[in-house]
Amino acid sequence: MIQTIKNRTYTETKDNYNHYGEKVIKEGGLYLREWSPNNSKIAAAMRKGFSLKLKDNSTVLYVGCSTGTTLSHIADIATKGDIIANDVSMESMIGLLNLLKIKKNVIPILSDFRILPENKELNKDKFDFVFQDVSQKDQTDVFIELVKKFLNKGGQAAISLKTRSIDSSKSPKQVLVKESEKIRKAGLKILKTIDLEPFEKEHYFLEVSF
Amino acid sequence: MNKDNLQKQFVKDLNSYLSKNKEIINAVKALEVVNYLTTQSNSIFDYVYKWHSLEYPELYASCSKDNSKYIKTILELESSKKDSIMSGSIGNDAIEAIKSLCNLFLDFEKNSNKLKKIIEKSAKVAYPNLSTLLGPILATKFISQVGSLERLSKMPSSSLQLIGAESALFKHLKFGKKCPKYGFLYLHPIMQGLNNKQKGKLSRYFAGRIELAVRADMYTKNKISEGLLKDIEKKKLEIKKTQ
Ligand SMILES: C[S@@+](CC[C@H](N)C(=O)[O-])C[C@H]1O[C@@H](n2cnc3c(N)ncnc32)[C@H](O)[C@@H]1O
Repeated sequence: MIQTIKNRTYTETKDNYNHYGEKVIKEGGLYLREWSPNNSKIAAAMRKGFSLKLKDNSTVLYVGCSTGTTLSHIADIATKGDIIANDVSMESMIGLLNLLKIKKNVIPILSDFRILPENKELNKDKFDFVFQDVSQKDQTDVFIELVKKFLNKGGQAAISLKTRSIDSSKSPKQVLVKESEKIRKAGLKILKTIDLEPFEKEHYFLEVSF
Repeated sequence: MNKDNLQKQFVKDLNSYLSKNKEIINAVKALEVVNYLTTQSNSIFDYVYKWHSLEYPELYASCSKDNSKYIKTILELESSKKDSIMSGSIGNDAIEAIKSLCNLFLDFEKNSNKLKKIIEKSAKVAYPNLSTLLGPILATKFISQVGSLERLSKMPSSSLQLIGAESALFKHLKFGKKCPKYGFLYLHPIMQGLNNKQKGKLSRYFAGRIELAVRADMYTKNKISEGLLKDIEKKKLEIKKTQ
């Protein structure tokens, strides 16, 4: 569950842990871990109007999980559904080891996100929330493919676009227009477009569905 | 999905990563601890010095301001009570407390030395060229600063020159302060005897050699550091002549 107290956002969990130095408040038998928009793009997007539809039994495909800053909050909320956590860098994923001990429903996959659709283990799976944050040139194309293959009907998908990684010769706005066009042409809907300023520079957060 | 299969695959990936990179991982971890122990033992030293010098202020100078020697001398003086120079004006309790702190200091030093051996050994295996150029500790500092040998190997020498000067570089870019000319490299003994301008010049040259050393460590595994070291010595002499 997400809680907001005095303009700060927290995720509620029964696990007493601290993943990356975030503030933790004890409340009854539960712990509230601060989810700051300065540390997490999803938290930043929520500040600017995105509403995350995650439930305790939601399943999640998280692409570009890195050391698990944002992932840890997602795992606080989705406590029962399977959460696939993907990254290409083991160096980063080592940062997940502690979290994996606490959140048994998080399943790590080390691989290039481009070959996730071919992963035999995932072949028949659908997810309620698909999120991608990888800062790669072809991130939108792969995102479209991932959404089409893995998003559940009625599910929620989101992508964080780092415009500089996509095309540094164009303005962020131009990149956004081009990438949005791709998404629409692929038959997907863009429900929200959020500029992540002042939390992130030259980043857009798009909420997408069928 | 078959969760078991995925978990097993990840454990396999993790283990293969660890066994491939264990030297670097161990060196970086050991260095973190060495830094911690150093900070701690410096403050322990401060406490001992401020306390013990109330009674015997000249002792530090008579140990040539060598911290470790100073601590050992205190312990020697205080354990042979007979020839104790200490009149005991700060009292036995204080002396006992100071002795414990001295032992703590030596304990930290011992641990730190053990860890430095690990760093040396690992550096020799995983990045022998960089380690010869910079010494194992500084070499490890470079790697831990950017995160991995691979990342280091992809950096141009202009960036390598400024590793360790990130905050000065930031101030330069943001507030137009002077552009830094060297980072951790100023810690290298070869910089001794040079003025700032010369250090800047040598750093630039040095960084170019570091680039070659790192690439050799990452890709060809050739041992090229002896030649590089000679190049740097030669360059230093040249630079010294310029002013
Ligand atoms: C900006 S970080 C993600 C931060 C994370 N989402 C958070 O908020 O805590 C981007 C991540 O994408 C990963 N990445 C880059 N290329 C990738 C690829 N080809 N496949 C999978 N992950 C990749 C990087 O290793 C990095 O950890």
